[in-house]
Amino acid sequence: MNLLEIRNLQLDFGVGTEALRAVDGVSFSIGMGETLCLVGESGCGKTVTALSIARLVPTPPAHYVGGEILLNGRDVLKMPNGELRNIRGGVVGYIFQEPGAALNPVFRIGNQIRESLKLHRPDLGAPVSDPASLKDSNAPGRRPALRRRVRPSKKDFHAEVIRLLKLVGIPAPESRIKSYPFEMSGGMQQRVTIAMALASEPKLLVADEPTTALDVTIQAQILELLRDLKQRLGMAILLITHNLGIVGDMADRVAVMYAGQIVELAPAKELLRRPLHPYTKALMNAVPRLAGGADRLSAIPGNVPRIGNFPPGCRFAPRCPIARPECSQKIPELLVVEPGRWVRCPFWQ
Amino acid sequence: MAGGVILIFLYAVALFAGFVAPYRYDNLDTDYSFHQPIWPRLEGLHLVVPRYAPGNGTFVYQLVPHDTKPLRFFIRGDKYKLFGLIPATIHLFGTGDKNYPIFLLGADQFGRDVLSRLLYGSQISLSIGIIGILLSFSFGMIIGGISGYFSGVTDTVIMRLCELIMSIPALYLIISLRATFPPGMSSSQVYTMIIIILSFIGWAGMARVIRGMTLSLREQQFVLAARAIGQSPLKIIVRHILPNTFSYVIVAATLSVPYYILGEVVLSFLGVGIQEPNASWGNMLTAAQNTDYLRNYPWLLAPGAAIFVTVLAFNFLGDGLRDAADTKSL
Repeated sequence: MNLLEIRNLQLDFGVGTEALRAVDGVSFSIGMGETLCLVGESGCGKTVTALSIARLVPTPPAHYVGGEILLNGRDVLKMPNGELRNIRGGVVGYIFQEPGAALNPVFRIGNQIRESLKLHRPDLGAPVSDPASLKDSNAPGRRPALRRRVRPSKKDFHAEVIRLLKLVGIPAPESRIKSYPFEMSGGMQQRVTIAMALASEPKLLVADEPTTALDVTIQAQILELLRDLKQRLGMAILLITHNLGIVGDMADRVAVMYAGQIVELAPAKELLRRPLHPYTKALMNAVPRLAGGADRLSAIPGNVPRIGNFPPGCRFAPRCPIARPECSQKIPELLVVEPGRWVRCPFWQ
Repeated sequence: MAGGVILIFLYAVALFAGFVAPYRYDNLDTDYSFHQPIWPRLEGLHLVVPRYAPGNGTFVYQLVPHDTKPLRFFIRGDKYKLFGLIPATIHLFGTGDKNYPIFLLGADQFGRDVLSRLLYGSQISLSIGIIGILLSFSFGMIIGGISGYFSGVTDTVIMRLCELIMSIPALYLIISLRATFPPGMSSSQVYTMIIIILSFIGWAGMARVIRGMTLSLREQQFVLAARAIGQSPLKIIVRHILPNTFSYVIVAATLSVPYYILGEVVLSFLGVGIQEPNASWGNMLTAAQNTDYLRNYPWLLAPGAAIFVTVLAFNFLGDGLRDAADTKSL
């Protein structure tokens, strides 16, 4: 069983005639310990898809039209609130784009990490919402008596917070634990948010453009940290990015999104070596190369279609170099071209 | 910050009112009705208190020359309870002799020391402000937080309720609410009642402002981050959203305290607040309504001056805090 299985997810903003479909039939899966990259332009539905995994998109205005999101085999979209809160953090952890904004400005960072600990590991053992314990007792928060330990003291929590800060590579955690977020640099703040996410020992870490707000050297450090943590803790990672360089560095598999749909899904190495969908090809061409000389950078002509104003048929057709008249007739299917490779274009060859 | 210093002084004095006041608030002696202020004077190296004897006409007292009593400090006098708990008899100053009273601010109709009553009254008048604010603001913050965070129907219902309460003229609501409670309630009951009534009116305005701030704060990413670690809505409101409104709330609270103090004054002045013989600034002012009294015994207006100073000090403090907490100017 896959850790995460999203099937035909459809999400609207608004209802009735004003409904705008932000996510249209997205399906993908993530196995234990796997890294999947979700790539696409701004506004193509990456973030909304990622937030849906823990049903974090506010409803209303959003509302789920169809599909299912199976996390450990349980449908997140049908979960009661109590169980959902255990899933959040307990099974899926999130890191966001702006580390400065994701930390509460009025609390010391140690408190914020401890908050996550107290919610999910009140006795500092394995997380409460451990998939195994969720399955054998439906009551959220209950766990087998065997692993119940003595209630840990303030000191134990303190030690655990320091361990987490060390884990994410914060120097001198004993003194940093008392810092306010604004006293830290962006890179350090992002490490703190990672520590917050790790505190509950999630099985899946969703990183929504974790390095976009950071400068390049810090980017490399944070990615290095994520890769290292993934290996040590065996987490799966869903990495959202629009940087194809990161994809090559981190991903096992890549899903390329365009206008609310997945247009190509493939193992990372193959996709980078031989992109099949014209959109992916165009994206790859737009990446400047060090050896490429001083020619004009190639860009994709036209603009991303606005949500609610999608062209009929293939949504990329108006900008596609190989578009044919029939492309505008109906939305192409996601085709299996090789085992593990899907492309939403009938003319991929 | 002069306002802060004045307030600290006022509250400290109120806390030790029993000790600082030379007499109890209900220590009456009609021999001294409307006695003018008696000030000690320096005689050699000692402070002495002069004696006055009844003169011609009613409530006229004349200085008796060369008849004085030394002013003494830490002297035994009326019984009182420090902080309402510890029985004590030591007073900061006094003469220790009933025939040589000391009325720094004169005496009222019943010959009670105005200063002592002012001090006892400050316990009620000043604490009503603080307790009222604590009650109405904490209530207003939680209601406003809930309203703003959940929005939708909850928000609409709560906000219409707030508007309903705000649309009623406060004073009439206070008086009619007060009228629904039986007369002959004890002073402490009335005191609690006044706080509850004032808070009942005060929370709505706070709730509206906090709701507005919550609406913007809940879109912040740290709220999303808190939801992403599985925090419950109520804890997100209390732990993450409300603390971010504190810089505003502290300023607003400071600026609203005078409203509560004046509220008590108004109620007591109208005779529906704290009842005699208990002292509050409001009911002391009731005695100063008569123009005759005002012309002849202006010291009865002392509580008015006290209210003036307190309200002004709170406003200065609030302004100072606002300048200090103004994050937008950074």
